[in-house]
Amino acid sequence: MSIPILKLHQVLISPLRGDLTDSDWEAFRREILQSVGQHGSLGVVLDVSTVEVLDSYATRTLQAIAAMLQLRGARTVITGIRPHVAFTMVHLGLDLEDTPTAPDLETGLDLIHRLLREGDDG
Amino acid sequence: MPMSLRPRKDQQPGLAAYHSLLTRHKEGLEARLLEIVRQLPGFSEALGNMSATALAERQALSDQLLEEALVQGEWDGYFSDLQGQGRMYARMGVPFASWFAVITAYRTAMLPKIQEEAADHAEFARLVDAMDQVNEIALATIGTAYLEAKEEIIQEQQQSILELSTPVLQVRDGLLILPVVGLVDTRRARQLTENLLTAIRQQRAGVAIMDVTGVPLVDSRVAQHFLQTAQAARLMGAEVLITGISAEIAQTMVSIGADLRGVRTLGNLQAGLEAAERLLAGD
Repeated sequence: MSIPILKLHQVLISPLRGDLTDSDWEAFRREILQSVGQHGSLGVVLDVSTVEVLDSYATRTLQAIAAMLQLRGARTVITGIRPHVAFTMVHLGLDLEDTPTAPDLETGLDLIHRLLREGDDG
Repeated sequence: MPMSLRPRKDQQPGLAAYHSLLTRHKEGLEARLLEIVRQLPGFSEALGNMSATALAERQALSDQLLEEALVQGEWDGYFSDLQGQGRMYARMGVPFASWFAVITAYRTAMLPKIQEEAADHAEFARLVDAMDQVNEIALATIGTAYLEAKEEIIQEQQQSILELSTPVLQVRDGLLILPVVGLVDTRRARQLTENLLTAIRQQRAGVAIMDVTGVPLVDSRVAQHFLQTAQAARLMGAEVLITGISAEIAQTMVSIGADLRGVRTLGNLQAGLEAAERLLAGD
């Protein structure tokens, strides 16, 4: 099951589905890391608005992907975490640490552009 | 109609005989009952709202259904009519005790008639038995309908209290305020969380202020719940500011070792609003 990686100028967008297996996550991690290099992207938006459950593996992987992308020079924003998904994560003690989040794709794109601008200034 | 209330086949002739007695004394009985009912609390207001024609129609329908039940043994129509009436009068606020007064009045009026007309002891017993049965069915059915109607009312009220007590207000684009007032138990805390997180998603809020000035104290579970709500909101991409934490709540939070990472707290709502404006302006 491959996950689409869409390119929008300097940013890559991936809508993640809810039914991903551990190996799907593995494959996606490799692919997104490669794509960032190929397109010279500066930002990645991972949208999880259709995901009903984010377990510890998925959460760790999202966090790891963000850290790896950072090493390759791209910022990551996670968008569309649903209310009950968010609350379940907190209950399970899961956290995305410093990975920025946004309520939906649109604000997520705004946020990543802002982060990129701030990066330029600094 | 529940089986426990339904009369046995062999009781039906007695009921039919009772009905014929009722019909013969209908006029006097109705006038007398109406007079009594008008003096009962709740009933007079309820009946006062009905026109004479409506009242007569109502009475004709009841008579017809009663005849079907007593003479032909078709109880279902009579039963559901009683249920409907019970529910209606319960919602009108007629006290249930008034129904006992009605039934007693009925009995007092009917007993002499039975005495006059019964040929022997056996017939007397049969008619009294039939009368009691009709009255019991009426009281049991109306009583059940009362309970159901009252329960419905209680549930509606609980629901509206729950909704009233957890409003999420949008102050301006991207900024929500959740004023929490009064005691918060686990159930209400859950409701608060759900409302806030749903509102954040719907309004695409960037900042939400949870003002707990009106909350005197909380137990450790609810305190934990507040913090978890703030963290969950952050995962959704919104910053939550908690304002107006009382001295007691502050002590609870620290003594349970609550994880305060990612949660900004400010002294009062004004400071919260200013901080929120700054956060939103930074966008």
